[in-house]
Amino acid sequence: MTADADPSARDALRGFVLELNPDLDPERLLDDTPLITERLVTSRHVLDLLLLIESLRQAPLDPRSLVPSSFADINAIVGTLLVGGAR
Amino acid sequence: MIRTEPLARTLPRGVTGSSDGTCTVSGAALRWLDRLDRAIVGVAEACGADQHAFPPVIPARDLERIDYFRSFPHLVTMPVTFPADEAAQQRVAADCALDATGSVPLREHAPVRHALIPAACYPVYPMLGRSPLDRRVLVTTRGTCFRREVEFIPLRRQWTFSMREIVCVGTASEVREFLDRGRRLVEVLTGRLGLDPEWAVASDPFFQPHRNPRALMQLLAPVKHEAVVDELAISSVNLHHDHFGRAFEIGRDGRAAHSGCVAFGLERWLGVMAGRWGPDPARWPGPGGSGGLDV
Repeated sequence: MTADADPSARDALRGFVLELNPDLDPERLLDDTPLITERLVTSRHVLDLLLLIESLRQAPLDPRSLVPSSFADINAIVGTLLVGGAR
Repeated sequence: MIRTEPLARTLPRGVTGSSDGTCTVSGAALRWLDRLDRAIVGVAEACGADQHAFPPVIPARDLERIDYFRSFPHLVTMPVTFPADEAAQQRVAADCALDATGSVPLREHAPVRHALIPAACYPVYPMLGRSPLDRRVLVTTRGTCFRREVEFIPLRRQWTFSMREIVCVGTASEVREFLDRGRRLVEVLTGRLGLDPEWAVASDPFFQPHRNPRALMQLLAPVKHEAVVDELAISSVNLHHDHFGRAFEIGRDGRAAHSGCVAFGLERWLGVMAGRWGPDPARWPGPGGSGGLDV
């Protein structure tokens, strides 16, 4: 599966972030909205996000392969972890 | 088993290292270290920091609130006492011979409810707990810290060491501004001392980091930057986000307070000064007063 072939991956990621942040206006959550630096995803939920990404890519993700930009925003997740084929 | 390196690495005069991870600092080395510490305290107080001297033990409950035992079980040191009842103490007195390794026979002990502090700033957050702050709070403290390590090298990696910290608790922007200024303080101090540190992104030494969400977050959003001299981190600038604010219910501006700290591993400064200027502390440049420094 690639995320571009399945836009529901972006929807799933958006849904995850909005569920974590019920006060966030959905229209303000764009694909380039910073997730980590804006504290929309914190350590309390980062493992849940990791599991979601693994389910979307249908493959495990080695946490040691992650770099500061990996979860930067939805575009980064889709581009590097879902389409890019990070190990 | 504790592994140790030979103690042959250049130590300043007045410093005695031990393979058990402890170090004794005396004479000119101690005087120099105290001058460095006073310079840092002077800056902190000039900026409004209150100085605190906390006990060297911290309730285990406080460490549990920040998930310390899950994140750093390999580093914890806890003080153990014998049971309080006289019969138990009689049994201890009757059979207290150390074994061949020097270990105390610990057949029974009282409940362990404290740990020796692993970081000087940890008592700050419980002190501020359950209170909304109406302004940014700056605190400075010096603590003897304890971290059980795999190997010990005098002045570089010790079981017990001195840490001076300046801590800021406030809004996210207040803390970021403080950390920027703290970094400049380290640069000015090292410049005065003829040291040329490199700043490096670092992470805390989590237990099984690939399973720890906080370790994962430190990969994704670096929060620790270290000033490194001779491959040794002598200071660190640390952003905690709202980790401590949430754990200890500290409020600021209607939300959980953010915090950050600038830490100085004091013995390590002795180590890099000896590497740069030789073993005689009397020949080292001094840190000067707090004038010209700013946080």
